[in-house]
Amino acid sequence: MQLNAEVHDNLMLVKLQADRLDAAVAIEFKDQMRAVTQGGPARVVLDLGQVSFLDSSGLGAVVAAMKHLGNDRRLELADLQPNVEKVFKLTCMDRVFIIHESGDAALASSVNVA
Amino acid sequence: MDIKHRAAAQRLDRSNDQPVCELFWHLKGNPERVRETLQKITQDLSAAGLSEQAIGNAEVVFAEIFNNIVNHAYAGRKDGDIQATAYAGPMALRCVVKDFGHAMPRLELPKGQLPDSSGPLESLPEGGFGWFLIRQLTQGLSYDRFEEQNILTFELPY
Repeated sequence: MQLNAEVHDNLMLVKLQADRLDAAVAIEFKDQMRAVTQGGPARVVLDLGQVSFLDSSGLGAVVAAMKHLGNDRRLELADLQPNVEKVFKLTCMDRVFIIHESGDAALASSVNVA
Repeated sequence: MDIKHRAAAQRLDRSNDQPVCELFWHLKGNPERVRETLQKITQDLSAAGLSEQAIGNAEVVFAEIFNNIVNHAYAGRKDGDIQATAYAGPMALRCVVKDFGHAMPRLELPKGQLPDSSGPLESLPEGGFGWFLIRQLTQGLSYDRFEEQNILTFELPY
């Protein structure tokens, strides 16, 4: 599991390079998210396009990552694959996050906001 | 066959249709083996001809059940045995999952209510989704405790 972070103006795009965000990597994911989002722009977009499977441990880890950013910053999501999107929808957590179709769409929205 | 096992078997066979095929998986209860087994399950269900959506649902359900067994029934162990069986019937995948760990509290399945995510950031739930997901995606979910075994039976509609 690896996180690749790029800073674009007022937005940090973090790409999760892993096929699965599950109980086996949930703690590692939380730790790495804390490390890569230390400082940086207020908006953080997590691109999950490579992730084909997420369980409730992975979901909890994404929520924990958002909570860690605090109230002055925000975690958004991009490119949810069908089986990942299903878990967010069933648990109503799709209403808690701003979800973009893709990392590029998130970057485009950044231009509009700025 | 003892009474409890017969009851579980009868639940699986309550319609008279013949199972199309039977699949069996065995794993040790730890996150790495769970991950490997889920990948095997999706491959086997794909080979059995299930739709992508049905396979996706099965993967979520088995993941949550296995994780629950690892974290609770086998809390503190990494080598507990888990056995899962699936029979592909015409309308649903009928499944039995057994483990030999601690019993469910009060010998009951958790209610699996959806955690409240309507509050402020600090109060957002980071867990408690597992049984909710299992209940959303299965039907006929039931739990038996017999001779130090936890036996979970359920159906996954196609």
